[in-house]
This record gives sequence, C-alpha cells and structure tokens, in this order.
Amino acid sequence: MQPLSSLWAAGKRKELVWAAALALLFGGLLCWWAPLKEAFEFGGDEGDELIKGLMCGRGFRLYTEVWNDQPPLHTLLLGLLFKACGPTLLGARVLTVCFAAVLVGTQFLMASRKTTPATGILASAFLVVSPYFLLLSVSVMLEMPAIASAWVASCIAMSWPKYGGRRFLFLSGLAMGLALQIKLTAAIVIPALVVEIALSSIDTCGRWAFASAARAVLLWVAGVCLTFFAVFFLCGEHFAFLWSAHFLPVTHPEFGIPTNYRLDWQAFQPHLEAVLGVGAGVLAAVLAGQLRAVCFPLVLLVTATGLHLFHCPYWNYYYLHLLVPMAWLSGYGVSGLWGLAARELKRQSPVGRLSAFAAGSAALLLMFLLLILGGRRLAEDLSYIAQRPRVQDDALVNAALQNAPRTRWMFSERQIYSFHARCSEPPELAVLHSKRMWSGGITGEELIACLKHYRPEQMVLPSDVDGDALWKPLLEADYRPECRYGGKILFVRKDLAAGGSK
Amino acid sequence: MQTVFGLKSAAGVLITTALIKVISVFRHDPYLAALDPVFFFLTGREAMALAAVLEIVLAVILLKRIRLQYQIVALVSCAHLFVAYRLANYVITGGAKCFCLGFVGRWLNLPPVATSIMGYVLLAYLLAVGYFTAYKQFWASTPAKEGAALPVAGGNPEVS
Repeated sequence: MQPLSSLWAAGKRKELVWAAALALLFGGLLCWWAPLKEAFEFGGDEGDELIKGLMCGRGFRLYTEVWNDQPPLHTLLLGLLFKACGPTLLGARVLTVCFAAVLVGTQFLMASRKTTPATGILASAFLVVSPYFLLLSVSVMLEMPAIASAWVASCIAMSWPKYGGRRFLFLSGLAMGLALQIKLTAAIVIPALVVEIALSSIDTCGRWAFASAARAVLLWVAGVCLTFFAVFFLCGEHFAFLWSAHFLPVTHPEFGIPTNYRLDWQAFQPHLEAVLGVGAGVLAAVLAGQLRAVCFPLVLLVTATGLHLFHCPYWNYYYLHLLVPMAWLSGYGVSGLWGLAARELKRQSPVGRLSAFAAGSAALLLMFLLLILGGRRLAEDLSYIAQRPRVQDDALVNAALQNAPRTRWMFSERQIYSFHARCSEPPELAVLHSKRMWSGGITGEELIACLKHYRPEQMVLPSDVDGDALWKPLLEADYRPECRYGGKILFVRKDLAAGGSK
Repeated sequence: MQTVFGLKSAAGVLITTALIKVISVFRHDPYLAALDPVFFFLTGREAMALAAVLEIVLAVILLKRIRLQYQIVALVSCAHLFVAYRLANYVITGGAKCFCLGFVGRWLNLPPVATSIMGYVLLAYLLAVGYFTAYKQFWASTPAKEGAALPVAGGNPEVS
C-alpha cells in the first residue's frame, strides 16, 4: 500500500496542481464578477438556507425548534460562520462558490485521470457553461455543496486502485457520508460510485475478483455509515422528521401538488451541445472500446434521468444532477472523436479515412456548438448575475432595518427579507415552502395561530394579502402597512409604530 | 479537375451569398437594427456584415492557388460553423427564420419556405464539396510519399 503522500509524487502532482489552479481560477473570477455582497437574491431558495443558518447561529436548535426538512450539515456550517463573523451574506455565498470551484476542479481531475487532460479541460468547460450552473454556484442553496461533496468522494474513490490503497475507499465513504448530511439528493451518485468501486476492484484483482469487489464496496459503505450516523446522532435523530417532510402523501393540494413538477424532455432543449455531446461520448467510447472510461458518468446520468423522470417533484436546480455527467460525457465525446479521427487516419484505407473525417467533423461541430451556445449562455448568465437587484435598493429591507433594533421577531413569506433585516423568524415558521404546505406540515390556520403567539413586530406579506379573509382580522387588529415595494407590503405592529419596544 | 470545379463552384456560391448579404446590409429592416438571436452582442446588420466578410475571405482562399489541405480545412470548418449557427438559431428562437440569405426571398417574391430550403441546399452543397474534395484528394488516392510536394488546387506549378 502506498503512503497517502504518494498522491503528491511527481507524476500526480501535476494533475492536482492543474485541478487546483482551475478551481482557483473559476472561484476567483466568479467572486470578482458576481455581486456576492450586494445582490438581494440569486436562487429562489436562498432565503430558507440563510434564515436557518442565522437562527442556528443565534442558538436555536434545528428540528426541535426550527422546522427543517433537510439534513443539518450545511446549516450548521452557516451557523458557525454567522456566529463567528455575524450574518454575512458575502461569507455564505463565498462558501457556495468554494463548493462550486471544488466541483470544477474534481471534474477536471477525474475526467483527465480516466482519459486525457484534454477531456478534463473540455468536461470542465462544458460544465461551466451548462444551464443553471453559474447561478447555483453563487446561490446559498444545498444542491451545489451536496453534489460537490459527492464529487470529492467520487474523486477519492477513483484514486484508490492507482494511488492510495483501500484506505482511500474509507476516506471516500466518509466524504460521501458528509455529502448525504448536506442533502440526501447526493445519494444519486451512490449507484455509479458503487459500480465504479466494484469494477476498479475487479480490474486490479484477477483472482477472487468478486470477493474483492464486495470487500471494497463494504469498506466504502462503512465509511459512509460512520460519518452519516455520527452527524445524525450528534444533531439529534431527525430521520423521521426528514422522512415525513419528503414522503408524506399530499394532504393539501391547494398549495400545488408534486406531480405538477416533472422533469420534461424540453428541459434538455436549450442544452443541445451537451445532448449531442453525450451521444458523441457514448459513440466514441463504444468505437474505441473504452466504455469503462465513461462508465461512471454514464451510470450516473442513467440513474439521475430515470429517477427524475419518475420521482416528483422535480425542481429546476435538480438539473445539476444531470448536467455534471453530461458535461463529462460531452468532454469525452469531443476529445474521443478527435482521438478516433487521429487513429483512423493512420489506417490508410479509404473507409478508415472517411470515418476519420466524419469523426473529426462531428468533433468540430460540437466545439462550435460549445462556443456558440455555451458562450452565449455563459454571457447571459454572467449578465443576469451581475444585474440582480441590490439589497440596499430594496425599500422594504431599508424600512425593516430601521425597525430592526426594536424587533424581536419578523415574519416574511420570503425569509430572505428577515435575513437582510438581520431579524429572527418565529422558529416554527422559519421554513415555509410548498412541500411543507402540501404534506400538511402546517395549515393556514396554524400559521395565523403561531403568529398570534409570537406577535412578530414586522411582517412582509404579498400585496394581495389585504383581501384575504384568513389574514384580515390579524392585520386589522394589530398591524399597519408601513411600506409597499415590489409586490410586497411591510406591516409593522401598531405598538411598535407608536414607539413600543420588544 | 473535379476538385478544382468543386472548390471554384463553392467559391462562386460564397461570393453570391456574400453579395446578397452586402446588399441586404444597406437596406432598412427591423431585423437589421435588432440584436442577432445567436450572437446577441451584435446587431443583425453587424452579424450579416461579418458573415459576408467571412464568406469573401473563404472564397478568396478557395480561389487562390494555395495548399489544398488548407482550402479543405477552411471550407469544412466554415461549413460546420454555419451548421452550428443554424442549430443554435433553432435552439434559441425555436425555429425562427434565419437571414443567412439576406432578403433575397423578398426580392424574388419567394415564400419563406423556399428561401429556407435554398439556404439548406447551399449549405449542404458546401459541406458536400468539402467532404468530397477531402475524400477524393487525400484518401481515395494512394498516400503521398514522404517529402513529396503537397497538392495545390488547380495543379502544382512546381510539379507540373
């Protein structure tokens, strides 16, 4: 067994340095370009994660006090960050950028180790220009950290037969356990990773190959279980909570139903270069007899597509599960077709040369599509990110900030307002989304009852709430509208407006 | 002979389409003032002018007596770029009309479908000439001996 430091040996150092340089370049450029400190909101679920982190940093306990339908690790990280540095929007977003940079770096590392450095560079390029990727790279949401951590686990697992011995498998399992404690959707990588570990084991051991593969997989699973259950027991046994939030039947269809959110084939239409790239990648692998080299992304793509076609709800940001393996296969497609063209050219026969020309042409077309469609998408996404409305321009936030010193609780249907105003939400209401509503986690009446109990000093509600029979008695009795902006109203408790304090 | 004819005819097609674009650029049309759907940092007029310049440069390369290898690479690359543009246009606009032939349809009173088919046919012709020339010149023949002069379109003056 080689020592862990063997990874730093001369031959491997180059790849790691390149991967680190790529990750740093991507992360650095994104931090420089994106208004991480000022943008009001990037992804739609940023408010949920930020307010959970804020509440955690202020000492509220997840699950027992703060309603939460996700594993705790990312929230705990944010809580620690906010406790150390105050509720910093910049810090939270830089944390996500770091995860995205790690994803880019590991994508390069894995793809280049499996085939060639050119494949690694192309796979990273396809990844960065994919739909949703840049937006998820700057949004304080769980998807990017979970998949990036799962990718780290995959990268370590792929290193074990060559560089690190079986202890790398255990390390990989530990990393996957952490990824699962960020978001359970990281589990989507598990089938591909198990196949990869088993095949690597079979590749290295001729005799007793299957027993060896089983041992390798079991070692990896032991690592997963160790970290997963360690966090699980440290943070309170929340599994029943997670299960009920995600798998209870729909009891309140008026809030929308999960089957309305399905993966549609049209989701792939704007991503034409990668769709064609996947086809090219599989074709190149079959023709070159290198299916093993693309086995991991291929199994992952099949798993993710199958799962999202049948499991509802499908949210747009789940496209990250598809785009990562698609980018890898596309990168392999372009470089594989070039390689095929170069090999066929040497055959000297007319058929061989014609196929070389066809392969070269297909690779050329994919490159142009990457440049035109991907380049356009990159420019559009960068422009969208740069032009997001700023926190300081939001009249509601400014008004809420003025009242903040006299505010103990602030309720907002979009929790990001409470975060920007640096105010705590009533813990039971810190996360309010469709899933909680349709699974019967909370009803409208319970919401009002909870608000009557906490009596938040400030509330941000949609402007059509005025005519809502459910809200009218509460608002008329205790609140007055202070500010209207962007389809929302800031209500302030009457005694606060009259000079009362918390 | 076939190679020379193929390349010269492709150059003829490119010059014709470039001229159509140059004339179209000086017309008044909402498309010319709006942003190009694919290269969204250019207006329709700028994109059309740029395409015309590219076609003229390619036509000059095809007409000049330079290495056939370079001519084929240039022709095939440009043809693939045009295919990629059309695919991108389809993805972005959902199949809106491509102004690759300028406003020739309007001048000839042709329905949009006919103009569109004409554009596809011309693009297919450029691709076919590129593939055919490459196959004919390099691969259907026996491989050239090491150090032998590379072929030049229209005959190699040093060899012939």
